[in-house]
Amino acid sequence: MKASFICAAVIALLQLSGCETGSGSCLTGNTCECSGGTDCYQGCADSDGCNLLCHNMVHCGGVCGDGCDLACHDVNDCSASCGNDCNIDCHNTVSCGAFCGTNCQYDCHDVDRCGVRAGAGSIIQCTNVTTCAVECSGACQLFCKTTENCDLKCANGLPSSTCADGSMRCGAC
Amino acid sequence: MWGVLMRRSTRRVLPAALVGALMLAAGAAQARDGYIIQDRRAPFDYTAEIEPHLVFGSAPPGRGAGSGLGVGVRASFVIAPDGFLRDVNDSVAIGVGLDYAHYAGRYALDGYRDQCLHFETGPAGTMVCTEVTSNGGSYNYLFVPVVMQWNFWLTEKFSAFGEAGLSLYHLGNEGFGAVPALFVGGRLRLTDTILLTARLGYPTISFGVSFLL
Repeated sequence: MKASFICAAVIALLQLSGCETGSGSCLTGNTCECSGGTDCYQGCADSDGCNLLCHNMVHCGGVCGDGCDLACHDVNDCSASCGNDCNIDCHNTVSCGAFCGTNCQYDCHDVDRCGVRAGAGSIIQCTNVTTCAVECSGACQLFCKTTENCDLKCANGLPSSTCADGSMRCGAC
Repeated sequence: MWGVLMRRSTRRVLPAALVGALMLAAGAAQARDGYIIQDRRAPFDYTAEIEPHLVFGSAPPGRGAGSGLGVGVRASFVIAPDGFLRDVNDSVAIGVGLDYAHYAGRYALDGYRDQCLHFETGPAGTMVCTEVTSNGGSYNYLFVPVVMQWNFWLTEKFSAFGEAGLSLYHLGNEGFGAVPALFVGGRLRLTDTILLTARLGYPTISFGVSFLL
């Protein structure tokens, strides 16, 4: 009887132990900067409209809703997760990974690997990159300059096209 | 509500620790004329000690961060009433505890940063963080310290002890881990079987009441 009570109490306490979820601590309209140290991940507490900046560290990233600016440079691994209408700039890193919604402007340069999953209306640029891999869920444009491997995948049955201006597109040129 | 409680509690942790230490020191001073350290056996004939207590901590092990408070209990079982030393009033016990503590990242002593809670794999093998903590996050820990306790019965009213061992812990998604557990503490005797107990160390500090059985 006592043993079963103790076991039940321990299991109940294990259920209580854990981490809360959250959305970050940066407020809408603010610029929040993180630099130095090893890891830093910032988020927009009010969801939309934050400016998140990371630089000079090992792992760094930002999570935001719509209408955000995210920048990351001189970091080993940069990460960006954003909603619609975001501007993302990532440079001088080993890897840049990003998920963004519609009308995303993504600029990736002087990086080994750029990987972007973007929504319709997005424009992605890779410059001085070893591998640039982009997945678009709607019509989008990809510009690759001085990039060894430039790859565009189109979802929802959209055709991938190479256009006269040198860009690759999901949908018609 | 929690933030207010934490703010109040962290403001009170140090004063409380100071008061506890002073109380214990005062007890030792009052009983200075009753030294019993040179007796051979412990002054109390007990086999086990049950100690419910409040738990405080900062910079927890693993992925958690910040400062926290909680409750717990420690059970210590005497395995050597005569201790290790001849002609010294020491004794040895094995202690096992269960402590639950809630840590808030915003109350980290050296400031806080948010942490990524969830990564997803992106194109080109990149890792993308899709969820972060707020205000440094909050973390609920369950500690199970297992220690050897070495007691020194200094006076009729005051005893000191050192503890060394391992503290197993559980933190939500991170699962289980273990860290070294090191404590020093003291007891102030209230009655023959009830004592105030303070314990300082890592991963937690505690203040409680011991019942000798």
